Amino acid sequence: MRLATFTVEGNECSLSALPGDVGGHRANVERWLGQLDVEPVPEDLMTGFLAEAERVDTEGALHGVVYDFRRFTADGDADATSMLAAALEKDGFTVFVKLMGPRNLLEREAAHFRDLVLSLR
Amino acid sequence: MTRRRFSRWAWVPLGVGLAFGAAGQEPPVDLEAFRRIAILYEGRVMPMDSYAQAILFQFSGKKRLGEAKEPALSWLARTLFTVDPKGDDPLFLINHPEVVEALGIEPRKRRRYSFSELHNSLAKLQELAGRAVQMEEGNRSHVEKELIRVFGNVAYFLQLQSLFLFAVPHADFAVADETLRKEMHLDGGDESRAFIDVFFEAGILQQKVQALGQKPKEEWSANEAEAFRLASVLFAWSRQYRDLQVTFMPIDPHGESVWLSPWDALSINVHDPEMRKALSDLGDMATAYRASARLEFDLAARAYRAFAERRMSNQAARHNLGLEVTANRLNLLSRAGWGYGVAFFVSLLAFLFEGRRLARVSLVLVLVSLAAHAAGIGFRMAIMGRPPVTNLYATFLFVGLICVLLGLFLEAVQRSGLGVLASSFSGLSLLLVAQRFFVEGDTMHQVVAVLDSNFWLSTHVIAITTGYAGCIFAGLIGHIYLLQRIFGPGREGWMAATHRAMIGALAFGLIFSFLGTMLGGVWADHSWGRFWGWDPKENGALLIVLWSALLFHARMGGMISERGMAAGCVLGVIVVLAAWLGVNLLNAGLHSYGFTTGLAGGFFAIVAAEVLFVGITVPIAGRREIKHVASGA
Amino acid sequence: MSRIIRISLSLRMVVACLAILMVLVLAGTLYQVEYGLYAAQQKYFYSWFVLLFGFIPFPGTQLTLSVLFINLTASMLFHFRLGWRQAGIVLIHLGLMLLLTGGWVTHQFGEESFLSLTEGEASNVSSDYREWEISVAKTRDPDREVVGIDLRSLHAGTTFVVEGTGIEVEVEEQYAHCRAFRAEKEADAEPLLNVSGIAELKAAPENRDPEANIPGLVLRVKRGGTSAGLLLFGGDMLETELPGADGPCYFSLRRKRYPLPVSVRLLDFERTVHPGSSTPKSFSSQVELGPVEREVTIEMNKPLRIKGYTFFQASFQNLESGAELSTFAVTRNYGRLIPYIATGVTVAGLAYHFIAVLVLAAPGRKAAA
Repeated sequence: MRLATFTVEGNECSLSALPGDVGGHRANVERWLGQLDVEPVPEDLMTGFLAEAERVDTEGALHGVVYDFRRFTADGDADATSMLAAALEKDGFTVFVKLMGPRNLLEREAAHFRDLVLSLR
Repeated sequence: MTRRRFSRWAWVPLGVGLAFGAAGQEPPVDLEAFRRIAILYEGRVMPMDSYAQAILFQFSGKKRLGEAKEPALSWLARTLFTVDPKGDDPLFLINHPEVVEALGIEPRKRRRYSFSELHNSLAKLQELAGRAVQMEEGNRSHVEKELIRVFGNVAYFLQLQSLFLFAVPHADFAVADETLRKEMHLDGGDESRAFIDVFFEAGILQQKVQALGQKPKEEWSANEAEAFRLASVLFAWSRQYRDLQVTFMPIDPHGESVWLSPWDALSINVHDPEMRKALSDLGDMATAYRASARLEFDLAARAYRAFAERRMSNQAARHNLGLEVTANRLNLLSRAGWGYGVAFFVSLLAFLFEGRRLARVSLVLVLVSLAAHAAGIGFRMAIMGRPPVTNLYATFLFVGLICVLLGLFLEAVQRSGLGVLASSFSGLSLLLVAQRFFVEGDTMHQVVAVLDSNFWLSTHVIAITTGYAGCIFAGLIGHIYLLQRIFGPGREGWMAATHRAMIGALAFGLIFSFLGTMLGGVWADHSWGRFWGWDPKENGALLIVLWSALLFHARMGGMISERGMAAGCVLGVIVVLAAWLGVNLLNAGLHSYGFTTGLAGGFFAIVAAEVLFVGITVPIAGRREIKHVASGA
Repeated sequence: MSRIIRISLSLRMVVACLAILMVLVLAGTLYQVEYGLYAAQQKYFYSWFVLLFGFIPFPGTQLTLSVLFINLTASMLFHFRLGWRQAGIVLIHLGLMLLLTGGWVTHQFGEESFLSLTEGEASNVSSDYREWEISVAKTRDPDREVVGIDLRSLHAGTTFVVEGTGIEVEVEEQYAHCRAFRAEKEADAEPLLNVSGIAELKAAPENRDPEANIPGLVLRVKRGGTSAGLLLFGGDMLETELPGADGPCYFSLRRKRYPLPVSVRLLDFERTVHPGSSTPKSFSSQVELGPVEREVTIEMNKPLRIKGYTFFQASFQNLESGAELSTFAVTRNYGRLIPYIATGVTVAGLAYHFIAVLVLAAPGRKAAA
C-alpha cells in the first residue's frame, strides 16, 4: 500500500507499507536488482552486499537496512540508472522506501534520502 | 621494357602520395603487426587494415583522415589505444545542414565534425535519434535518417574508445591495502591499476567476500572491505562494457565461429591460460603504444596475432587475411585507374596527330593497366571466394574490364588507335565512377541469403554486366562516330570502320543483355517459382534488349540512317544506366543525401548531356554530309 | 515489289511495337513505385488497353505482344528462307515465339499460392494470396468435406444455395476490405451470428497490396424455414456455427484453398545468419511428406518439385508465442519448361548469326548485322 510519493527532478521516491516481512531482505534485494536490470550477481558479491549494507534505527523505532545499489554501477557511468532503497520493520509491518534514478541524482540526494528514512515514525 | 615504363608512371602518384603522407601524422609505433590482426565485421572476417578503412569511411566518407591525410589504420590505433584520443579530428560526416542546426553546432564547410564539437550536443543527438527510431521507417525524412546514422556512428566510436580500457590504469582499481596487494601478488603501492591486473586475481577477492556474509559490517577489516569494494567495482565495470559490437577475439567453441570483444572474452574465459596470455598481450599492445615502445608493441602484437590465427577455425578466412593486406597495399584498382588516365591522354594525342610511337605507348599502358585491373578483380574473387560480381561496386569494375577488352579486340581488328582510345576512356571513367560513387565502407561485404547461389550468380550477373558493357561501348563509339562525321568528313574508310565497330559492339551487347535477362528469368524461376514478374530490375534489362532490337530493326527497314544509328547508340547509354542504377534511383529519390549524394543528380546530368550531344551533333553531321557530297561528287 | 512493301511494313510494325513496349515498361515501372507491383501489373502488363496519364488511350502489353506474335508468325511463313545465311535469324525469331507462347501459357494456367506452417503443423491445402472463399462444412473434424464459394462470384444481392445442405443464402453486404466492430447498435436490431461477436462491418480503403485486404460479408441465410443474419469476417479465428434441425453447419471466410498432391508437415525450421551480423545466410525447412512419410529439406534456392507442383522456401516469421512460422510459395505451372527451351533456341540463333556474319564478312572487318 503506497503511503506517499515524492518527486525529485522527475524521478520518484516512493514510500509503501505492507504486512508481514514480504519475503525477507534477500528476496527484496533480488527484486530490486531485477528492476535495475542487473544480471545475476555472483554469490560472493551478493553476500558481501547484504552484509555491508547499513543497519539503521529510525526516530520512530523502526529497524531496518538501507541498500545503496550504486555499488553495481561503474563510476564512469554517470547516467546509469541506480537505486537507493530501505526496508524497515515494526509491529509486523514492513515499510519500503525507494528512490530510483540516474547515478548523479542519487549522489546529490543520498543524504536527503537517509534523513528521510531516519525520520520515519 | 614495358614493365619499366609502367613503374615509372606508377611511382609518380605514389611519390606524391608519400610526400603528403610524410607531412602528416606519424604513428608512435610500427603498425605492421597490427595491420593483419583479424576482426569480424558485418559477418566477414577481415584484417584490421580493411576494417579501419571501412569504419573511417563509414564515419567520414573518406579513406584518410583530415588535412594531413592520416591513413585509416593509424587513426584506428590512436582511437583504440590512447585514453583520450584527439577529439579534434574532423571525423563525423554530417551531410544534412538541418541536423547540424538541430544540434546547435557551428556549421563547417567540409561537413566533417570532431567528437569534441559534438560532445556537448550528445544528449540532444541521442534524444532526437531516439525519437526518429520510433517512427516507422517509411515515414522518416532525410533529416531523421541522417540523425539515426550520425548517432549510430558516434555510439560506435564510443565503443571503440572503451574497447581497451581494461588495460588502462584507473583509480577505481588502486589497491590501498598492503596485505591485499601481497595476497593478490601485485607489485608496487597504491597507484592506479588496470582492470585486467585486478581481474586476473579475482579468485582471491571472491574467497574473501564469500566469507563476509557471516560478519556484520562493523567487524570488517580494511583488507576485507577493500576486497569487497574491488569485487563490486569489477562487476560494475564488466557490466558496463558488456556486449560491445567490436568483436575481434575468435573463441570458436566446438568449431562454431564465435567472435567476442575483449571484455566479453574476459568474463567468459578467464581460466583458460592461453586466453589470459592473449588478453595480457592486448593490454601490452595498448600500453606500449601509449609509451611509444616500438619493440614491446611489435612483440605483443605478433604474439596476439599468432594466438588469434591459431584459434580461428575458418582456414580459408585465415589464409585470406594476408591476401587482403597485400591487396590493400597494392591498391591495384586505383593504380589501374591512373594508368588508364595517362593512356587515354596519350592515345588521344596519338589519334589526333596520327603518331605511331605514341599509339604504341598508349597500347602498352592500357595493357599494363588492364593487368592491374584484372588482378584487382582477381584478388577480390580470391578473398571473397565468389565470382567477380556480387554488389553494385563490383559491377562497375567488371563492366570496365569488358569494355577495355572490347576495345583491345577492336584494336586488334582495325589497328587504327580507335580501340585503344575507347579502352582507355572506358577504363578510366568506369573505375573513377566506381570509386567516387559506389564505395560504401566494406566493398567485399557478405552476400544476402537470396543471392547466395553461386552458379546463377555467375552466369546471370556476368552475362548482364557484359551486355551493359557492350551497349556502353557501342555508345562510346557512337560519340566518336558523330564527332568524326563533324570534324573529319572525307575520310570515308575511317568512318565506315568506326560504324562497323559500333554495330558490332551493339550486337555483342544485345546478345549478352538478352542472355543475361533470360538467365535472370531462369534464376528467378528456379529460386522463387516465377520466370518473369515485371519488377524494376527485370524491366530495366528488358528495356536494353528492346532498345537495341529496335535500333537494328529500324536500320534494316531504312527508317534511320547511319547517323541515326549512332544517335541511337548514344541514347542507349541512358537506357543502360537507367537499368543499371534504376532500382537505386527509384528507392533513393531525387534528393538523397549520404554517400550516393548526387547519384540522381549525376544521372540526370548525364541524360541531359547525352541528349544535348545528340541534339547538336546529328544535325551538324547531316549538314556536313550534304556539303561533302555536294563538293566531292 | 509487294513483297518488299510487306517486309518493310512488317518491320515498321516491329519497330512500333518495340517502341510501345518500351513506353509501357517505363510507365509501369514508375507506376509501381507508388502503387505497388500488383497494381502496375494489372494496369500495364496484363491489360489490353491502358489510359496513359489517365486519358490517352494506348495499347496494353497483351495487345502489343499479340501483334508481335502475329508479326513473327507472318515473317516465319513468308519472309525468312531456310538456309545457312538466315538460319540464325530464323532461330532467333522462333525462340522468341516460343518465349511468348510460354508466357501466355503461364499467365493463363499458372497457379500461385502459399502454405504457412508452424513446427509440427501439417496441411494438404495451400492458400491463395489474394482470393477468398466462403467455406461451409457440417463438422469440425480435421478430415471433412468443405464446400467453397469463391468471393469473386458474389456481390451484394447475389443468391445461391449451398450444395449438399439446402441452405439458401443471399448476400446483403460485401466488402473487399473492411473493419469489424462490436455492438453499439440499438437493442431492437436483430443480432447477427458471428463467432467473434462482431456486430458491424465498415468498408475500409483497399490496400496497395491486395494480399493485405481483409474482406467481410453479411449474409441472410434460410434454413429449414427459419432465416438468420450471418456475419463473416476474414479476420475471424474460428468458424461461425449456424444451428439447424439436421445438425449445425459451420461457416467461415478464408483465403481460397487449393488441394495439394501431398500433405506437408513441418518438422523443423532453421535460419542461419552470417556470424556476427543479422544478414541472413540461409533458411531451410525440414518437412515430412504424406502419405509416404518421406522427409525432405526445402531451402532457399533449393525448392521441392513434386507432381507438377513446386514448393519454395519463401519466408518465415517469429510469432508472438515464440514459435517459428515457415512460409512456402507453392506454384503450379504447366509451361514451366518452355522459357528454358526458348532461351536456348534464341541464344543459339543469336550466337550463330553473330558469328556467321563475322565470318562471312571479309577478314579484318567487323560487319554490320
